[in-house]
Order: sequence, then C-alpha cells, then structure tokens
Amino acid sequence: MTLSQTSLFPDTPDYHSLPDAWDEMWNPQAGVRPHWRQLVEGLAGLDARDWSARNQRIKRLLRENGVTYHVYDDPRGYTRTWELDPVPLVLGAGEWAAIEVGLEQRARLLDLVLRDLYGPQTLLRRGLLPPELILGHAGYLRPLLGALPAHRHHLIFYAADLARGPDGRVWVMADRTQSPSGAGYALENRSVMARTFPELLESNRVVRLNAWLDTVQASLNALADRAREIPQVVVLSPGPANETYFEHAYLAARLGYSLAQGDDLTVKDGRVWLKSVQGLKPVDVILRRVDEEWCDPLELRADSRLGTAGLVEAVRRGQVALANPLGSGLLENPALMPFLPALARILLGEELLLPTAATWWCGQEQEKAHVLANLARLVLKPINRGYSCETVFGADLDRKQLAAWKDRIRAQPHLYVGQEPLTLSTVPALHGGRLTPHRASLRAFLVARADGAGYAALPGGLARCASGGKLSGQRGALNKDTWIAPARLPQKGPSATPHRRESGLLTSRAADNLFWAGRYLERAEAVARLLRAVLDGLWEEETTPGLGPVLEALMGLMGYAPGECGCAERSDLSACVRELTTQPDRPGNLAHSVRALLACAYGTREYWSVAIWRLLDRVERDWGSHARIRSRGEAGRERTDLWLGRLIDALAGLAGLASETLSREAAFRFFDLGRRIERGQTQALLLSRTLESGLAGEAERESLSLVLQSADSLVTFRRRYRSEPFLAGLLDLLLWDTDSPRSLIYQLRTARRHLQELTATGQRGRAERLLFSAEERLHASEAMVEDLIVDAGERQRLIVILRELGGLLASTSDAVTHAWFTHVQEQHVLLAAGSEG
Amino acid sequence: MPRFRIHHVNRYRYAQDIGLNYGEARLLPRDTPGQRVLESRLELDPGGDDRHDRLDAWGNRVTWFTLRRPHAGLAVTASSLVERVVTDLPNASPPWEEVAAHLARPIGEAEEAGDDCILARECRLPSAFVPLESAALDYARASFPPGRPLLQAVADLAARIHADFRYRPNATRIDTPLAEVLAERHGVCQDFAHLAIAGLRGLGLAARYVSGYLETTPPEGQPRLEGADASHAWMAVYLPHQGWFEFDPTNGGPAGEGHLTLAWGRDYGDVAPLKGVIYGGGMHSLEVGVTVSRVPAGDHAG
Repeated sequence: MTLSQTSLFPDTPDYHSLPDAWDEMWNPQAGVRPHWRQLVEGLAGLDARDWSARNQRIKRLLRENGVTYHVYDDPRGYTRTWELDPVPLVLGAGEWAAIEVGLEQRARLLDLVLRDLYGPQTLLRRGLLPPELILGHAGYLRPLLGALPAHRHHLIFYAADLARGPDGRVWVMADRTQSPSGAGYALENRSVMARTFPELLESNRVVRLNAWLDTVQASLNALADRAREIPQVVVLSPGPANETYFEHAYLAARLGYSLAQGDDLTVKDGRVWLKSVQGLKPVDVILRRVDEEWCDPLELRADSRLGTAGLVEAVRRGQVALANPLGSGLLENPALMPFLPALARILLGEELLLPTAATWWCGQEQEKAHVLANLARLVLKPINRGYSCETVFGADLDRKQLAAWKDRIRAQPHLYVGQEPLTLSTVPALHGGRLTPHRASLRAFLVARADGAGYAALPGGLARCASGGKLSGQRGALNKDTWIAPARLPQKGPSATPHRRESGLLTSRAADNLFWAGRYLERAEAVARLLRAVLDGLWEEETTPGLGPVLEALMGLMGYAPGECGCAERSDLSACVRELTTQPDRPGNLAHSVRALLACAYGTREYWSVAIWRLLDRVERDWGSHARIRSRGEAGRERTDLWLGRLIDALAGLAGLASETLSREAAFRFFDLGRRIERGQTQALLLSRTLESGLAGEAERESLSLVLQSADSLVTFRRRYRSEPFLAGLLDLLLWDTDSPRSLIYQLRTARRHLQELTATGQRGRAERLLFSAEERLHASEAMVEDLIVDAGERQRLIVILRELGGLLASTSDAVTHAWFTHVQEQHVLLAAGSEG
Repeated sequence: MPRFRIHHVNRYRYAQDIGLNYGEARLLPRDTPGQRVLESRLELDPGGDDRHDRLDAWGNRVTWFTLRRPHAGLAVTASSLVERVVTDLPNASPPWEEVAAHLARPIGEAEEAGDDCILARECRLPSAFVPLESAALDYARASFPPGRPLLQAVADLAARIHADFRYRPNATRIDTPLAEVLAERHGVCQDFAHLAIAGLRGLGLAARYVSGYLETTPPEGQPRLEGADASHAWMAVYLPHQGWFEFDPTNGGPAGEGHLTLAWGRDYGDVAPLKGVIYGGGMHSLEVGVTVSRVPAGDHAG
C-alpha cells in the first residue's frame, strides 16, 4: 500500500506499509487514519529545507540539553546522544482513554498482589499463585517480608510496555515495577518536539504532559511519614556511569530534589540521612533508581557498592519510604501474566481490561509441555531479568540452540516462560532520508495518586521503533514522542509556576564535584593560555629568549620536570603539542583537565543550565575533532592556535555563564571557591618562576609580556601604565591590585568571602584561617616592591613568599575538602563466621 | 530433659579504628519442637549505638546493630541456656517418591496451606549456596532406590556422606562451590549439609539448612577443650503433615540430644550467624570461640 496521495515527505512521497502488520498511520482500505490526518497535513506543508532544518534542530536540542543514554561497554563512552525521530506516534484520545483505564486497573491489581506477597501471602496459601513462581524469583526479597509500610499504595511507579498486534488490539508485553525508567526521556522528547514543531502540537491539540510531574511530586510527598512542611526527597542514583543517569539528574532538577548516590546517604538511629554541606539532613522519601538488590550491602547483595548499609532496617522501622519500594521487582516476573485475569476477578472483582501477551509458565506441567512442543515458534524468557540468559525468539534458534533451551527448561522449568510472539504494528519513521515503516512499542508510565485514588497515567509515553523486525533493549532503537490527540478540553497555557522549584540540599558529593569543576576549569584555561603563549614563542624563527618563565610555569603546572616534554627542542613541535594535550592519565595535562572538567560537570549536571551545557558540548566536540587532527599529525601552527583560541574562549565563556546562572547559593560558592584557589596557585607559580628567571633587558620585557598575555592581563597593563611591561608594574597588577580579577589578592579575598558565607556558624574554620594568613603574608610583601629591581635579596624573599602562598592555597583546598566533602570511606564486608563444626 | 549452656564469642580485630559498623547477628537460639530456650542474651563490646531485635521470615531471632564510635575491635558474645526435648524418629515413613509427588502438586484452594507447607515449597528450590548440581543429585541417588521410605533413605545418605567425605576444617571457604566439595571429597559441616540438601532437592524433596551447635564429647580420659568447639550445621527433611526431621551428615546420623538449634533457612546464606559491613580500614581478623557444656542435673539454677 502506498501513501502517494499526500506528499508526506517531499522527496519520497511513497510510504509502503507492511502487509503483515497494522500500521499506526495508514489504513490500507481508507488511507490516513483520522487521528493522524491533522499531523500528516501539517507535515506535508513542510518543504525539504524545512524538514532538514527541523531535524537538525532536534539533534541540536538533544545534544545541547545533554540528553544521553549510556550503553554499557560502548566504546564511544558515556555520552551517546538520544535519537529522536521527528514523526511522533499519534494515538487517538478515545483509544487512549480506554488504554489508560486498563493500565490504571493493572497498576491497582499489581499493587494488591505486592501487598499480599510481602504480607499475609494469601495468594500462595490458597493456591492462587504457585509458590515456586514467587519463591523462585530473584525479586522476592526475604528481608523485606512483613516490612511494607502502611501506605495507601505500595507500588508508586508502574510502567507497561505496550504493543499493537495485526488486528489492531493493544497488548501488554511486559510490566515494569522495579524502578521503571523512561518517563524523564519521554518528557524531554516532548519538550524538544514542542520547540521544534510548536505549530503542529497546537493544531493537533496534543494533550500536554506538564501536570504529570506535579502528581509525581504530590505522590512522593504523601509518602513522608512525619508531618513535615516540605519533606526531604532524594533521587537515589547509581551515578554517572549508569545508562539512564541523564534521567536521574533530569528528574532531580525538575522536581527540585537532591541527587544522591548510595554513599551520600547514611543510616543513623534507624533513619536515613543525607550528607549535605550543611551536615546530616534527614531523608523522608527516596525516589529509587538503584536496582533493589544493590541497595543495602548488609541485608541484600554484600558485593554492592551502590547502596547504603542499614537501608532495609530504616524501611523496616518505617522511617523512610522508597518509591518504588524494595521488593517490587517481584512483579516484573513474566510468569505472573497468565495468572492476572483470575487475580483481577478475585482481588478487584473486575475483568482484566487489557489483554496480556499469551504466556506459559513452565513451572506447570501442561504449560511446560506446550512450550517445549512449540519452542521454535515462541518467545522464550527467563523469569528473572538479567540472569544467565536473555529473551530469545525461538524462530532465531538453530537446532543445537533449541536443544540447549529444552535442557535448560527441563532442568529448572520454573525459571522460564514461553510467550506468543506478536507481530508489532508499524509507524512511519525517518530512515535514510525517507519515511519507512518501523516496528513500534510504547512504554506508558503511571504514578500512584497522593490521595490514594488510583493511578495517574502520563498522557503519552516513550515510543520506540526500529527498522528491523524486533526491538531490542538498549541498541539500535529510535525514540518517538507520543501524542494523544485531540484533547477534549481546552488546554491550559504553560504551567503558571514553571517546574523550577526550590533546589534540594547540596550534597557533599555535588559540592565536591562543583569545587573540582571550578578547579579543573581554571586549570584547563590556565594551561591552554600558557600553551598558546609558549607555542607562539616556539614557532618563531628563533626561540624567544623570554620564553623561559612561561614555559617553566607551564611545565610546573603540568607536572613535568624541565625539558621532559621536549618542548624546548624545536625539532618536533607537533609531537610536543601532542604530548602536552593527549595524556589524559597525567594530572595537569590539558587532556586530563578537560576530561576531568567534563566528568565533574556531568556528575553535577542538574546544576548546569542549557547554555552551559551547550558550551560543554562544544568543548567536548572541539576536543574530539582536534584529537583526530592531532593523531594524523596535522596539528600545525595555525590549526593548533585556532583550536586553543576556541578552547580558551569556551572555557572563559563557561566560567562567566556559570557565575551568572548558578544561583548565589552554596553551589556557586563551591564552584567559584575552586576557581579562586586554582587561579591563586597558578598565579603564585607563574610569578615565582618569573622572578626566578633573572632575565634582563629585551628578554625580560619579552618574558613579562608573555606572562601578562597568559594571565590575560596584557591589555589591562597597557591601559594602566601605557608602557612596555616592567616587573614592578606587573607584580602590582598580578599580586596586590585588589580590583583586578586576575590578581592574587583578589583570589584570596574572594575565596575567603565564599568561605565566610558557607560557614553558617560564623566560626572561622581552618580553611578560612589559612586564607587569612595568606592574605597577611601577601600584604606584608607589598612594601618590598620598590626594591625589587635592585635588591636580589628582596627578590629572593618574594619568591619564598609566593611559594609559601602556593602551599597555603593547597592546604586551603585540603581543609575545604575535609570540612565539607564526603569522606568516602571504603566499604568492606566483614568476614562472616561460617559453620566449621 | 538435658540442659546446655552455650557461650559463643566472635571477636573482630581491625588493623585501624573503625568509625562505622553495621551488623546482623543470628546468634540467639529459637524455640523449636525439640528445644526450649530458657535464657539468652547477646552482648556487644563496645556497646552498640542502635540495636533492634526481631524475627526474620522463618521465625529466626535476628539482632541488627550499628556502632558509630571509633573502635579497634568488636566482640559479639551470645550466651544461652537451652533445654532439649528429644523425640525419636518415627519408625515408618512413606516412600520418598510419594513425598516428592505430594510436594509437586499444586496447592489446592480448599485447604489453606500453612507456614510449613510454604516453607517446604521454598526448600525444594535451588538457592544461592545450593544451586542445581547434577553431581550432588547423582551422588544422592544411591540412597534412594525406588520405594525406600524417605527417612531411611535420608539416614543412609547422611551415613554415606560421613563415610565418603573427610572432615577437614579450613579446607573450604564459606563460598566453596559444591562441585569442588564433591570433587575433593572433603569439607566442613556446612558443606556436607549443603551437599545433602542439594541431593534431596534434586530428587524433588524439601530440605532446609539448620545452623546451631553440637555438644562435642571429649575423647576418653582427656579434659574437655573449652572454646575449641565451632558452630555447627546440619539439615532437615520435610514430611508432609508430620514436619521436619533432622539429620547430621557430618556425623552420619540423625540429629541427637546434643544438637542445639540457632536458626534455619534455605542454606547458610539465610542464617549466617554474624555478618557486617564496616567503613574505613579493611584489614581485619575474626576469632570465634564456642563452648557448649551440659548443665549437670540438679544444677539448673543458672
């Protein structure tokens, strides 16, 4: 069938739906389905240039917003950008209403099942669920038995993977209850689409998503046990290496919660506390994104480094609520599916509304026989996700593999199910410049309502599609926004109170990362500036004699012994540049600083604005592209110079933007504190090397000029003194000038002010005392400047003072670390007493 | 009715001071049909900052505790007085296949299944320390010819393990896999209990792990070595409607008067007497001392 009547996509007007599948958009008998018409007309109005521009815009927005999905073991590393197809999946509002009711019913049912299995277990005792089905599932967490709190709902978040069969019916393919992910991506997809196709969302009267997060927030708040005005909620994440870390940070930022990892929390007096820069703060509710088994090394997996010892006990004492609760993964067991219709009748007195993919649990004799007889036709799934084997399609297996599956099932039948394969419906998606049918599935999201009145569904969801026949977990799928249209009620304008709520507590970990983001940003900028100055000098016909101090400072900053990097020899400058910029394991190396900066920023991504993310993205991409040039040995003078210039601009821009957009709260202060301490150290080093060089005449002037240039102060100097650089003037500007943001005194004072603000008690901490004495030393040295030129002894004393100041700043950094940041103490599992008798 | 005094010390020493310590102990004996706990207490030295005693999913007594002050070592000491009520094994029991078939039947809606029945279902399934192990099943089969009464068969299995395997303390670790125990033909009580359980589960029977103590009788003419005893482990098999019957593969027979129960579960992992997580440090040692002494008749004052 073709869609040639309407030119949906200018260059390829033909859309061929597949003969075996239902197409979401195209009805072979009647053409475009009614609920797609508005969209199809809208898209047909776009010309090729428009299409391309919008598609580019989507890509750019996703990249700039840092929407990533991390694939484990992906050689491309952390940041794989999310791929969003410009054509949404459209579902008619009427059909969606029916699906919604079905999903809501299913969530209520699963909630009751959960409550029973961790409570009285009537379902097992009365034979309504075979015990092996539950007791043999890895999600049955014995330490949590009898530990469910008295909430209206236990299952807070529920997600279902839906698919449509050839007859047009929508089926539930899988239930997600452990810690369902994807809602954040769905919301982000919508925000990107809303910025790319605002007129189409308007004309289609697409149901908006913004109210759903309010429901989530109300629901989580209602879980807090104590009557606290604002309950403390944290998002518990496994950290930046996790595949859906973007979503954890996204939810934390949107909901105004602190983003925490296992060791940001501690259990004391039976409750959970967050290690924040303001000390330990009690935590009422945890939005849990760490898989349940990993949450407590004492009572669950002992080898977990992602959890918090004592968490299970805190749950047991009712001192903290988790959403979803520990133990809810039990409901993801696909073997439960065939029992749900009967359970719905018994527990709810209702017929199950949504059909479930036909599933046979091999723990029953007849069912096992059916699966074994139809192995080559069925989908085979272990009841436990992520264990010994994954879901396979019997049709893909050869004889040997089928035999292996038979053995596996016969050995432990209760661990497997067979499922009727479903020919997924198709949806148009952009592929190779044209629209082609892709197999689609939809993950829908529900959250329990705060008042206990059932569940609220996100009106939409995360649609995923692939051009092949199947959709596999992490790889190769394209994402789509899901539109429910047309809305029946007139829609409210954008939420009057945007989702920027008061920010959560600053965790010690985040403060640590922000502090180091500041330090690495400053270090990278300093090294890049020095490097540029050095390269300028080296690329001249004759090596500039005044290069010494800058080169020495650069080497010092980068941790090289003099001459070690080979920069002093002009023979192979490209090799030298490569050395200075490509040793990521070497602290001080530009590559190391840039990478560490990106890692710190990524680890605190909920604090950074879109504009900052855009610059970080630029730094990362520039770095990547130049790395390719460098590796081909094509990093000549001009290219390197240009690249360093761009890098410096981006880093300086980052610093500026961060100062403007990080609110003047603790987050900004830690970030800027890091910058000031780093810059202070750099200046002290640079100036002491300058004084040590003992250059005179033309060489000295040249050297001073380079020093000023690498301190970004040459213009200021010229404006102020209207003369060639001279030492006393330079020292005045870079050491004692309280107004110059490049002077050492400015760094010390600013840093000290931050510390004053951060210390709530008004007591002067060690870091502040160190800075105070550094300031005093610096002041005392000001009187010497008059004699510097003549008196070698005075010069030597100033060198000593500068070195001391460098040391004091290093100690200050240590003191800050000690006072505020997480002292992550290594976790060890004690030797267990075995039974030796 | 014999009474026993149990003294069980677990002493951790750390290479450096530890400021934060979480622990979970299953060191207080439970009441069983064959045992009454008259006294029991658990002491921490230094004292804990937070402590909570409760029953776990199987009714075992668990103590959860934390220490938040710097300490260089930790001693967890359990002292109890228990009274044993020994009942003889029934002379007759149904053929083992009949029991296996009974356990494989779906639970009917008519009569609500009790705790024991659910536990029995749970104890038919493989578990972390007792995975499906065909070698264990093959080993067990020799004791299970068709039609043999269940208890007779299990007694035979226990006797064979005792005869075929060498008891070698320190030869195995807590996590030594069963396959290795089978290959090397040596191990400790925990390994032998797991081996018997694996065999029984492989046959479709329900078997659970029992953690506890054994009164060791000193060799004739020698004084009893105080503190030299270790904690012990054995297993129990389920007979529908009759309950659990205990056998000790380490000693080759049914559990007797001197078998004192702490806790039971699917395997060692469910009932580890003591486990913990510490923050900081790392290097540490554990020293365990167990004394089980029979209280002479008439000296029951405590």
